[in-house]
Amino acid sequence: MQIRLDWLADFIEVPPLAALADLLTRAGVEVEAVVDRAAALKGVVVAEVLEVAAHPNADRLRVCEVFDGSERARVVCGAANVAQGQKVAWAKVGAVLPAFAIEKRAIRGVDSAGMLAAKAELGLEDKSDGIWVLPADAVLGAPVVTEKTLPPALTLGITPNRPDLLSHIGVAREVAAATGKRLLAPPWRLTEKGPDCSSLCRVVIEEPAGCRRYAARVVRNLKVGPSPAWLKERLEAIGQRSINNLVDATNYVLFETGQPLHAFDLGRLGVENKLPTIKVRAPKAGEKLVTLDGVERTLDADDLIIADSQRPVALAGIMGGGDSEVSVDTTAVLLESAYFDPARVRRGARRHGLHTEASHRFERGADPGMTLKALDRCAQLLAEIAQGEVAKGVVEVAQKPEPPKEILLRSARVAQILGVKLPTETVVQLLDSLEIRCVARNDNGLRFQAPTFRPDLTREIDLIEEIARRYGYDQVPERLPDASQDYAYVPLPSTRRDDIRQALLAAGVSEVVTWGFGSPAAYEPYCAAGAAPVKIRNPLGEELSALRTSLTPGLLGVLGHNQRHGAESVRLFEIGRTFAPRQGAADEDARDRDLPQETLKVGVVLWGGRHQGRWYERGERLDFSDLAGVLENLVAGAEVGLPLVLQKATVPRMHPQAAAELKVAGKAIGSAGQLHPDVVAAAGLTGPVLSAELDLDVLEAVVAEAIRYRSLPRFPGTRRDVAVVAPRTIPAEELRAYLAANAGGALGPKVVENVRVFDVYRGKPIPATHTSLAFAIYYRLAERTLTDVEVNTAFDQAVLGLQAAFPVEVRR
Amino acid sequence: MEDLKRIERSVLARARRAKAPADVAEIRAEVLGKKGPLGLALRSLGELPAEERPAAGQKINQLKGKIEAALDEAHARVQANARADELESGAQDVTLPGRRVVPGNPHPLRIVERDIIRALESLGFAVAHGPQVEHDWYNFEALNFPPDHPARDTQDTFFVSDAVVLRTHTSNVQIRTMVKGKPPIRILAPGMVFRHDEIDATHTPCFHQIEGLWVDDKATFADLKGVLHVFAARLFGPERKVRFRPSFFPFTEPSAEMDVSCALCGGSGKGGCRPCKGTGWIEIMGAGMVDPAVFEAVGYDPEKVQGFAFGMGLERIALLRWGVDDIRLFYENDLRFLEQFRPGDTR
Ligand SMILES: [Zn+2]
Repeated sequence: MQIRLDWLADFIEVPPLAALADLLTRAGVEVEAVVDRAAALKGVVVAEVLEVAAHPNADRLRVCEVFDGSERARVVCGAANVAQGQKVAWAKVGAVLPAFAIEKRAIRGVDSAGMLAAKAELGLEDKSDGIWVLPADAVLGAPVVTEKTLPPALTLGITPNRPDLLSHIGVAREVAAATGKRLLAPPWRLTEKGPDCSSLCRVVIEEPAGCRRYAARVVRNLKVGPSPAWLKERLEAIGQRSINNLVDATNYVLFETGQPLHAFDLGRLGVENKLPTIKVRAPKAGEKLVTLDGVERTLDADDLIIADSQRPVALAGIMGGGDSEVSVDTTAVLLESAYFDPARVRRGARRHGLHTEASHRFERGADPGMTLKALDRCAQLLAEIAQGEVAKGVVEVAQKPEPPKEILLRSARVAQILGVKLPTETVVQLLDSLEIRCVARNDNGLRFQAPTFRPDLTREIDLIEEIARRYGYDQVPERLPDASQDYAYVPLPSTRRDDIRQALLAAGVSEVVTWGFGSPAAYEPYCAAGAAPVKIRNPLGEELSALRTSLTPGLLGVLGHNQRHGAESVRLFEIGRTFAPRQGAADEDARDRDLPQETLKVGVVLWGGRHQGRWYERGERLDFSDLAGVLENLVAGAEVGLPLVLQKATVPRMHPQAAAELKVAGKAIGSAGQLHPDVVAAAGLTGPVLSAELDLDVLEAVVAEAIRYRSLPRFPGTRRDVAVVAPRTIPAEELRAYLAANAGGALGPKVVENVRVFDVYRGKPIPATHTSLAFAIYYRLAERTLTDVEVNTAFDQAVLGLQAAFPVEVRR
Repeated sequence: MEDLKRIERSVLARARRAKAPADVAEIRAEVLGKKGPLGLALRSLGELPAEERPAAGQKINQLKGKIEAALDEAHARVQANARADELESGAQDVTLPGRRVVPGNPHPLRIVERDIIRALESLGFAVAHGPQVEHDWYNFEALNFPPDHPARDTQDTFFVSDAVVLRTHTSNVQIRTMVKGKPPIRILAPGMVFRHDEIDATHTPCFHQIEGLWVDDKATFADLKGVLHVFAARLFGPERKVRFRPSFFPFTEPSAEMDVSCALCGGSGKGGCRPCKGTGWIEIMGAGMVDPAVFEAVGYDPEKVQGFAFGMGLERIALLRWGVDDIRLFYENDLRFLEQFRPGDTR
């Protein structure tokens, strides 16, 4: 909402600009911008051109001697219309124009003390033809624009609860409340002439739910033409285009009073019962309306329309129709001022994709107290600026006005909510400044009536907010709430998600954040069998239309970006939700049944040099074991007290020989592997790429095993090593598990403290199909020292057993 | 006895020449062994007249002592030399970067989220989460956004269906927490939210908020101001001033915006200061007392419970904190960008 200060001054004494902005801010009216062109242009002054001479080095430039009453200077000018004796706008050195600041500089070798400005260069018009030649009586040295000739304006951000502030009068009221000054009553005098309005038109409300009040006046013998300069200027200053005096008058009154008005060409309204007729009604099936913007609209049964005797002529409160539009030939108008139901207007406006100054105000609630006043004001303006004759009286159809609602304010409640105790008189005064009148008092509290322009005030809490607003938020003391009684109720939150995050960062993986939606094509491969991604009905584009089903496509996108930008080693993780369609259970909350299934996941992607190209990297590349290590640290960081188990598996889109299912506590929590080369190539990536995705909801739900202390061993243990050459198809873990179970031989597994892989070797002289694996077996017994003979016997037996159980060869 | 002199000279010379502990051991075995020159000399004592024997024996023993001392000294010398060589060859370039797993970079939005949570946790708040795809009732209606209300215009919404939306704010977690639990409630709800905004340097359709909710039977607007001032002092520094000004949110009343004084101009707004647009103040968050209509929606009696809520955008705080000039950088995840939030680790 744009507010022009001189316009505002019609209704209230306006404080200085900075004070006004501050006052409005403190009242909750956001000042988005202060437009003070006069202040900005104060370095542009009236000067006389004393002499015009040719420029020595340029044919099209002139060198002008100018004088502003105190200073004489030489200015180079390129305009053809400059002439001796003119009064011109001299932008002196230091002046700041909308596009640039004026500096002293030489133009083609001649020093120029500023410039002679065109109106366009001052931002006063779109395009200028030559410099601005001022009237001969302009005072030398005076600024060319002043606050008087170009008053400042404010751009205000009005919250949806305050339709009353969408007008100059409304803002004036708020200023009055804050400054304590009285509102000024402008001298609007309406002179009526000729027949009764009721003999010229009729109004029927067939849809009372949509229209509580409809008032019409008729103005005849109008002369359509341009608006007077003052009106044009004011409208243009708030960003409205001047059309003609008729349209401008309704617009002007809208921005002045907040009441949207519409003017119908009386001669183009269909006649019923011998009179041009207005009907407020719902559309009939199949009815259409071509609105002012030229769009033919098929009307919906829920639309509220204005019709004449036969056809729709306007979308009520939103936009008029082309057929009844006023034109240069119009001589008589029916002026409409009405109160339309906010929700009905809003639904209609949204349905037709229309958002107009009128609908914006009706949606938020017009002021029923302004219906007639605005109508009179507009009629008066038309009489003034279009020489119209205002017919006597108003044709008004209205439901019985609702009695003003009384709102009870209990004395204790203000302090209970705000935390500050205010004397009753203060409360009454603060509200009274906003025209919220105290109408009764008793032991329960005070009863107030809100003004008609404040539809937002219906409850006690609304009054409390007004009290706080007028009292000043800054005046309310600060305190810290007392929670000491409640600490026991607040459970210690789980930190597992953060612990996992820290573990991954410590493992060298960087966190990324990507959007929760993207391209359906990217997610389709990552859907459960037979399922499709959840789609957004009104996406920003097809490529942003599906909720993500997996974190991996997003991570691969980030990997690609970094590969393209020269990264040598990329390790990424993201913690985020994925979405899948869901059939809610019947016993579920009805509202939850419709929601997609959300799963909290962590995705990891690794690629490139193992040590980020550091001196100890020696060409080593990240491989599956690095990924396994990261994931093991992730699970360790989650402190579930159980290890991550990796099992070789076939995973879609993964390398057939380098992929695993992941389990913790026997529960499947995801998969990991090297991406299939085809997938890497299709994604335009450089491989090999390691990738994993884990279900954090499952991991977060794993109950940590309670830790029990074990006494430290008192007897020495001993170690035996065995190396085998095994086919690559046999996972090391199988051999390790065999040894852990059997290395104790006759003594049983209890003597085997641990079995660890301590060497893995591939290469000569081992055949390419095989791997050399070395295991360390740690023997120990809690209650005594094992003898060498015992251990050797058990060990030899186990090695024989291993060879019998697996096609492996023991290396000696 | 001339022999002894000769032995002494030659052995001492050999000891001086010894280079390694093994050399010394060899001399020791050779000279002091039974078949060594001293052994022979001792054995040859029997050939001397009895009266000369003691003096000769004493001389031999003296020489033996002298040789042993010389050999011990030689041993110490070669030992020290060997250690010196060993140390020399163990020279390390201490300026090389350490061999380590270089930590990953935290995401700036997570840093902001963590700092906000830390600033408030000690006041009794605990983190809570809720769905990102939400039923209209939780996202709007229960928060006092009636259908067909213009307040919905302020939250351009993505729809999955008529009744299901991508949440436009984290305020849905307020409702879910209140519906499930009972006062006292003190939660912080961080997370991703969605608005149907065109993408530019200051807008993205996905962004992050964090929301606070405090409900008990006595929390007031004064408490809200106190909590948020403590928060601002902890997050932005105690020297920053705060300002509360009226605003509007359907789910709070009274509603407020909290501004903090601009760090760049010190709150003066002078010189057309850019971050604060010359006002001296920077908008940080929205807040207010929970509207009674919200309590009614979740089945609480607004006469018996009261409280406050506040919320802010993580991106906005991050942009201000680090002077980032394009919000899209947070989602591009260029490692050269992310690395800047863990400075001093470029070796
Ligand atoms: Zn500033």
